[in-house]
Amino acid sequence: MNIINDFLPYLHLCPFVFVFLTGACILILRMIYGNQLAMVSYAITLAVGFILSIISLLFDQNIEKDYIYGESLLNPGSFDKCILFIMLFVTILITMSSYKYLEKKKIKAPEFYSLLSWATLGAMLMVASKNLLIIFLGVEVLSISLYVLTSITDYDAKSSEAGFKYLIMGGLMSAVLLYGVSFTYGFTGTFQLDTVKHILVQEQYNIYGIKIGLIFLLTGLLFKSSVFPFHFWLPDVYQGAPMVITSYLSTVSKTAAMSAVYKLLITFMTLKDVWLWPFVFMIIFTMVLGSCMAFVQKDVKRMLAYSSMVNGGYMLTGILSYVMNVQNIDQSTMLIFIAIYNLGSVGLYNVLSTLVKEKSEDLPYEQLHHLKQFSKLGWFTMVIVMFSFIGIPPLGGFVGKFLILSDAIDSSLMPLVIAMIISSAISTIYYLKVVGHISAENQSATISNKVRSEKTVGYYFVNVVSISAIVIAPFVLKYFLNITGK
Amino acid sequence: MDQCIDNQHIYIMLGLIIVMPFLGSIIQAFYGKSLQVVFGETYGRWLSGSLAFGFVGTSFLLACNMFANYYMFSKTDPLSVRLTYFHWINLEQLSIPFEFLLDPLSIVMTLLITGVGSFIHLFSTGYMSKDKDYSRFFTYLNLFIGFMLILVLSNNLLVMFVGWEGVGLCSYLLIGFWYQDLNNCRAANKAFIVNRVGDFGLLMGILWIGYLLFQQYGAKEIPGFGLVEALDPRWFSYDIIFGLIGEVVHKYPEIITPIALLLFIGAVGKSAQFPLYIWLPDAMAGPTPVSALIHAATMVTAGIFLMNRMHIIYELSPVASSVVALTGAFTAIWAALIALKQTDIKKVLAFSTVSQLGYMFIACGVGAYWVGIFHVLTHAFFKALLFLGAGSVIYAMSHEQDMRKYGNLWKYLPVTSSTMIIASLAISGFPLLSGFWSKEAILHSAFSSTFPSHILGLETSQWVGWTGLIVAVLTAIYMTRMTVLTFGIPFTNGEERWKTANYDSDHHDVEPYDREESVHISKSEEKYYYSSNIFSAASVDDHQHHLNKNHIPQESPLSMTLPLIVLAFLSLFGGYILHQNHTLESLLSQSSGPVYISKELLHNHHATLDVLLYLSLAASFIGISGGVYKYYKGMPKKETKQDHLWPSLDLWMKHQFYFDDAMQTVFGKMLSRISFGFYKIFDQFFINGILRLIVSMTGYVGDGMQIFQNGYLSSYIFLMVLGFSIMVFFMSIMLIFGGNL
Amino acid sequence: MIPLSHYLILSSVLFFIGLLGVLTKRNPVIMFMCIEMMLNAVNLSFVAFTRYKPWESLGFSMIPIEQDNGQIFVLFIMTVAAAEVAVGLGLVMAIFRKKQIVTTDDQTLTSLKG
Repeated sequence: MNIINDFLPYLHLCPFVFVFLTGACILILRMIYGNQLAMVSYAITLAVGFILSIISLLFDQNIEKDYIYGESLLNPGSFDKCILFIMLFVTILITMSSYKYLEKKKIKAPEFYSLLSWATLGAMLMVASKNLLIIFLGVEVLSISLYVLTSITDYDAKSSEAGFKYLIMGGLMSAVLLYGVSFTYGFTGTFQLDTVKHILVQEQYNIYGIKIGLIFLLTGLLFKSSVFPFHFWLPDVYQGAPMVITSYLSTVSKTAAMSAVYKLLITFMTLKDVWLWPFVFMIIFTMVLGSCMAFVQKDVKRMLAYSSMVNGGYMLTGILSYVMNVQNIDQSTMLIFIAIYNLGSVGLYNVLSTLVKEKSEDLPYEQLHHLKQFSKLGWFTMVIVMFSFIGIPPLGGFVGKFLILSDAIDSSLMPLVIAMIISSAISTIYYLKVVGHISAENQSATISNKVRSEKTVGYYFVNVVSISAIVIAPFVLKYFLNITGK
Repeated sequence: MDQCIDNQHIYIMLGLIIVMPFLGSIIQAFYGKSLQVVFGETYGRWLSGSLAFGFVGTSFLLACNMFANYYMFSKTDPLSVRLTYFHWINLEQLSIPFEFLLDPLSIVMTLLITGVGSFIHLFSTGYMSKDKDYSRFFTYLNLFIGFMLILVLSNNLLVMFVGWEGVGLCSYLLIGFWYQDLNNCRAANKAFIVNRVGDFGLLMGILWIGYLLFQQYGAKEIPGFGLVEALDPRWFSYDIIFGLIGEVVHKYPEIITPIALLLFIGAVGKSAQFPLYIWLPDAMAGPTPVSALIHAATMVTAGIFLMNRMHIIYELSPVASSVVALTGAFTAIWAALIALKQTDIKKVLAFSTVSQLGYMFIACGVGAYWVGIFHVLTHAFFKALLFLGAGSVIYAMSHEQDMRKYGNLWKYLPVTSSTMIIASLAISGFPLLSGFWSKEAILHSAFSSTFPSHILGLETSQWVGWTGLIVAVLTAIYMTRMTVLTFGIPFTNGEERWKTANYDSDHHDVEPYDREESVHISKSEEKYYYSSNIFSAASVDDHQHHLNKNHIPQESPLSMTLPLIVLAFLSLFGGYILHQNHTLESLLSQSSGPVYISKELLHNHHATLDVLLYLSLAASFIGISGGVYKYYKGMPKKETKQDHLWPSLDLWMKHQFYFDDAMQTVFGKMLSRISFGFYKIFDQFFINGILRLIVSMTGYVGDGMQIFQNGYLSSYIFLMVLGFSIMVFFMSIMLIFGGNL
Repeated sequence: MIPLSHYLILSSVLFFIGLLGVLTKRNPVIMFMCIEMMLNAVNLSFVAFTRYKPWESLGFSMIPIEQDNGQIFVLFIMTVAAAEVAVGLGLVMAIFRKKQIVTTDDQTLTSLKG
């Protein structure tokens, strides 16, 4: 009993510890067994570890307050837990869809999966903590893992280039972020965002130092969430990275960044005179220019990069409407949008990852032809996901967009509403372009289906999960609202 | 309402009556072809036809049973019961149940529809027996019966509208039944589109009524008292409307006339009255049983039924009533004049139908609503008979429809000719036949009516009465013309006429203006009937349907002659049975009798009107003898040449006074020009232009932004720092102005 | 005693010199060095803030504030910077091995665009 009692205070760290240990385990397995293990076994290890993490996430509700050590560092609330759950689940899906792809690309699975675990750990830290130190650590763990993962195909020059660009810009921006942290710390004496908020509210605190800190902090995090003037890394990195990592970047990484931005905005709500309108304009540019850029792309991956930028704009609209009107708006809007966007993206990249060639990550539209012959399920997934992104009513994407729009109207953010509608309208064009190309049957049959990797159990599973999530989302909505609502 | 009636029984009976045709339709649609596959061509068709006939026949027998139980031998007042089956639309302030009303009017219409319908089904099993799409035909026909029953039985304007649109749909499908022919498709489209005009008016009227009642009696916010709920928000149900409309009209007397006129527009469309009648002659492109059932006996009488159902509204509006009467009278004489000069046997009957429908509207317009239904019934008997007889003739004459090629068919088709002669005598108003009674009743009610219907100081009822008399003469003439030409004159030049007609020149003996019009339907029907008939080569050879010199007409099979005989019996005695002892009048008095106008006022018997009987008898005899005198030698030469007494009038009558052409020109050409202009200006220029502009702007913006996305890391960093600086700049402005920008 | 503002000014000057270096230089190694300089500027400000505790003189009425030690952050920053540079140099080596040249505006490093 004593042993259990000794462990009780640390139980709430279980999800993080499991994820960390998963990465370590994969490397240890590699050391013990060398090259004898199949790639699947590493993927399974990761999945098992993450499932343990999810389970422990669900089961640590009942710990008494006294037993929690380091409460100020890692203390996810119910909203954060939902985000964590989504991220872990999505990572499992990405893992399941990836092992054949890794074989095709000749990427070494142990390194890949352990880095993927640790990147997820960083993302989890970003989400679960309200401490600037931990958030910073999370950003760095996530980013550094992603620098490596982006450039992991060493024969592909584009992959290296993407990683290099990401690294330089990311390094620069983490310096900017840190500068903000230092100022915030210097003028409040704490890393704890709750305390900072408290001070700002209670003391009517209004000196320049904290505002400078806010500007730098915001810049650093907006870089991670690829908002307009700081989005330049995004298309290059998305295009150059292996498809699986693109998928990860547009789902887990983006979600983590959004969560951090959300916490930052909540904290600095009292200073909204300073940041609100510049921020609104940045979101507008993100959505509208992102759509325009996506419209002119010739490469599917690059188009999807801009599309993920636009979707990030939608998420920020939802976050901003919540932050502006905390009393009347439910957090579940954000959760629903994020969940549906993540699951849709995973399904989408899952199909696309079977279509890329062995040596090149480029994916021009023509390479999508004959998808229906290759995989009916994949075709269906793509169509459903695209329709969901467009916002065709019965599908989940519509529900998410609709909720965000109605929240934004409730918070009287009309410029954002208009920009969102415009960008949605434009986005219809390029999403439908994809639908057209995947449905094209009698175009030049230069791309044979032999190039495409074989379909695995994971492929089918991810597709089915993605489709069902998008299709049944409107129906589980009420349940969602009940468990997270006020 | 009689409470002792077993409600459960009525529920099931009425439900079965309505469901039966739908069931038949579904079975035909899904299993019709399989029947032919399983049981072979002949037996499968036989089974399929019997099933179709069986379902409608069952419906008819159930309706008869119901009628006998609750109306014929009932000592109490006629039953009027409202049956709610399920909720269709159920809102807080509006409830539209799927409810039916069983009262004398609806049961009479039900008997008519299912009775005539089942005979025509029986006829069709013979007439269509060689058609490729045998079960498709019965699918539509059964569906039509189902929708028609919904139309007449509903207790709710919107449910009625469902039936109204449903029969419109079936009519469309059946007119275009031989869809390979473009002309048939055109005719079907024309019927559908022209009916839309009427339906628009009807829907407006319905919604206006509902809105009016809702506005007056719906839930209201009374200050200091809260929301007062309406007691029964079924704003479209007949019982609610009739209960409340009098009160509303008392408050706003001016509102009833537009509503009545809007409803009348619907009736005009469906019942083929003057401006909108143009679809009915073209609708003859469908198979002949369809013309008999839908375009003569049942569907086109939906307008009369609507008048009867909503008669309270018309009673309240003298202006609308006189518009109804005048429209009816004008249509009657207009169509009768046109019918006088048609050479296509089905066209004669089509215009005759339009004319007779005008008669019915005369009755409704002068306030004798039940008389309208009376004429609907008798007209259904003899007009269905005429159409079926014409079908039989066409069947025997290898699908030739030009009357000028008939003649002496009495010799070959004894049953058909005798029954058809009975029918044409009936429609001509020959004494004691059914047409005589109903026509007499109409004229009588028109002359005796003191229904306050006058418009522009004109005593409407007298005028329409005299018009009716003239039309009676014309009717007798053209019906006699048709009969004599078809059955009577044995020979020209000692040969039967189809033997002497010039076939090589392929209708070139017809006047140029005739060629396009009267021939194209018969020709096209002929042509595509056989192109759709892809049975064995032998069967095609048997039906080498180009009428040739050696053709010998043969009497139709029993399945076709039996309905003729039954209908002939009804044409002979139906009118007398219904008229005797005021049977129909007393039955319908409950549902169609006047409510707001006293009966005495409505039927003020003038002593002078005793002459009327002699007048109408004279009209009938003059017409018949005139027709016989003029046509007993066959088609006078004069009629095919232009040296007529009034050549232009002759020409105009032949050409339907060019009204159809004018409508074609106005709506078909000019309107489409205007539409095309709008399409060019709005759709192409504005809408497309805006879209193109947006798309190209998007493209330009995207291309412009690609300049910045140039792949150079240093440029990216510079742009980010620049963006950061601009952001800081704006934030400083925010700081300075305190966010009140 | 040297006032806090001196340290802050020095730190910001260092930070912007680093930023200018990243903006102007084309050699990745020098760019890493500039980023290092920016991080060190941050370190300097952290250390100064922790030493001077400027928030105490602002007179918050809210007691107690949970005070963190900013100097811990410096250790983390140094670690992270080292990791970043390790990854970065690895990448630079990889690129150099393939292309024999590493300049950020080189043809090989601007293929992703549009």
